[in-house]
Amino acid sequence: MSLGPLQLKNPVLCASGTFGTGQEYIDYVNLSRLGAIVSKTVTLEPRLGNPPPRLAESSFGLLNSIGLPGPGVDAFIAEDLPLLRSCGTLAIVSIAGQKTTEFGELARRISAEEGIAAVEVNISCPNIEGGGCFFSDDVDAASGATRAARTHTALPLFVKLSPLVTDIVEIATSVLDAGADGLTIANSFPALSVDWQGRKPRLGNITGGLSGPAIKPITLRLVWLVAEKTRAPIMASGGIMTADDVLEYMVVGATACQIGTANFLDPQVSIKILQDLQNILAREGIDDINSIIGTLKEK
Amino acid sequence: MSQLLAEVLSNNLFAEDHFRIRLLAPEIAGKVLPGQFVMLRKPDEFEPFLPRAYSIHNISNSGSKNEPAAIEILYKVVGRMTRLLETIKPGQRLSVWGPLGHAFTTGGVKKAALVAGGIGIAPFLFLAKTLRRQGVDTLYLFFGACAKEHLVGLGEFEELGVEVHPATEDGSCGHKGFVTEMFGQKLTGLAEKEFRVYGCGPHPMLARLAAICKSRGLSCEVSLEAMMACGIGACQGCAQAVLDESNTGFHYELVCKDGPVFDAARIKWTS
Repeated sequence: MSLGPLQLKNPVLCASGTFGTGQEYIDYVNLSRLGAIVSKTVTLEPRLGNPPPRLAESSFGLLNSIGLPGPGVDAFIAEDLPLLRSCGTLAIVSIAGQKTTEFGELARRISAEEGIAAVEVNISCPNIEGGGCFFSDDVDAASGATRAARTHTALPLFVKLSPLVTDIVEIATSVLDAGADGLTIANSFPALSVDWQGRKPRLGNITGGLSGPAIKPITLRLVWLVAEKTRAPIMASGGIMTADDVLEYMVVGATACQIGTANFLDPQVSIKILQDLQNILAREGIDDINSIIGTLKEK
Repeated sequence: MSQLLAEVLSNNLFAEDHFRIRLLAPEIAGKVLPGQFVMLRKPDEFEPFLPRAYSIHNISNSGSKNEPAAIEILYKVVGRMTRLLETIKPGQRLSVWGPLGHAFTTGGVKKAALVAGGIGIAPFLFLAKTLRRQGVDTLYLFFGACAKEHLVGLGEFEELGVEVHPATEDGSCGHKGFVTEMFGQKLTGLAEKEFRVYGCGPHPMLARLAAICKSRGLSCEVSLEAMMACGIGACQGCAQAVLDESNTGFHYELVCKDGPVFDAARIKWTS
């Protein structure tokens, strides 16, 4: 199947930050069967990550404030990238900068390496030149980061949007105009978990991102809105736990789906979803999975 | 590492609020070392949402084969997962994956003290049995809990020939006060070079234990607890601050992958 310029063997991908370099799952999953693996987000410099606690549980969901810990792009290229490439499926590298120019620098560095199928731009991170607002928060910052990356890479370029914006279609249109080949919709939702007895936030960084089935209907609407208005290639990400969830996202316009938090509940879930998907399509007599995409009947 | 839908062989009340659940998991029982853990979850259950990490309490044979086939977990009913586990009946299946993490190091140990706080006793039965099998003849258990009823499984350690020293906060059994106080007092007569200390329990207790061991020049390994999502190093959620080798700064390591057992001297203790 075609996801913009990218050819996928199936629509089941694993999301950034939930699947390591793939090697963490090698005992549980035949990695070569996955549509693609999106790496954890790579930054220019090494990062410690946020102080613990980094996780808080909620009903049908998980809050995290991990803080993009990582060794920086040099060590990523030397150590993590060979692992990611050895998975036997498409490697999509997620990048995030603290300044607009860093997105360009990261795209340039990544594109110089062999065996990378695409770049995913993580714009849900603070812009230190923009008063700490997230790049994903406004049209100028989001399109600026996209343009910086686009200028420095010929690889297929996808931008991962934040779900918490006033008008996601406006942001989507602006990053597509800035040269993105497609979109990932969406990141986790900014959220708060509180221990009221201790009068304390449960996360070391106070707030975090909510993921899991709790957010699925909200993200489903966002995918539908953007797919209708832009016709862009979309990877959906938001609370996908089952093959039915994948099909729901495809019906509203996604071409592929990224499995994220579900990997934590069952390390084999990605392959189980893929198998279930094949069984459901056979049962329903659907020969071509592409025929599902964007088929929501609104009347 | 293996993932399986493991049949529950038994799930019995063992002491007040404490249960032992035994799972048929030959792939894990045959490989696991003391201090390692498994992730556990009831399939298709989303309340609680995340799986939980449990250290292996014991391994045992099951059926006719003369090799370990079952893993045992000791749990105390304190939260949503353990309240759910309490209701699980023999014959039901749980999703389990492991063995995970780094084990206690046992090579070259001649004499050892196990220092447990509360449910921190869980990994020590398996450890004590392993040390015994390796010929460690001098074994002490210092076990602290809030009250006598929570000093679970002392008899089994005594059967292994472990010298048991209980402590309770309410004074209902043994030393009245914290286990680390008692350990510090008794240590004066015990301290020798080849003495290895193992700790498992609440964070403040382990911090105190680490300080005592440091002051006496004893090597100490601690098993840490942290909230985890995946248990396999992917989510990066279970970060623990660890001192840099220069001791001037720190970095984060993952309790699931780099631990749960750490050299106590490496940890950046916060209390």
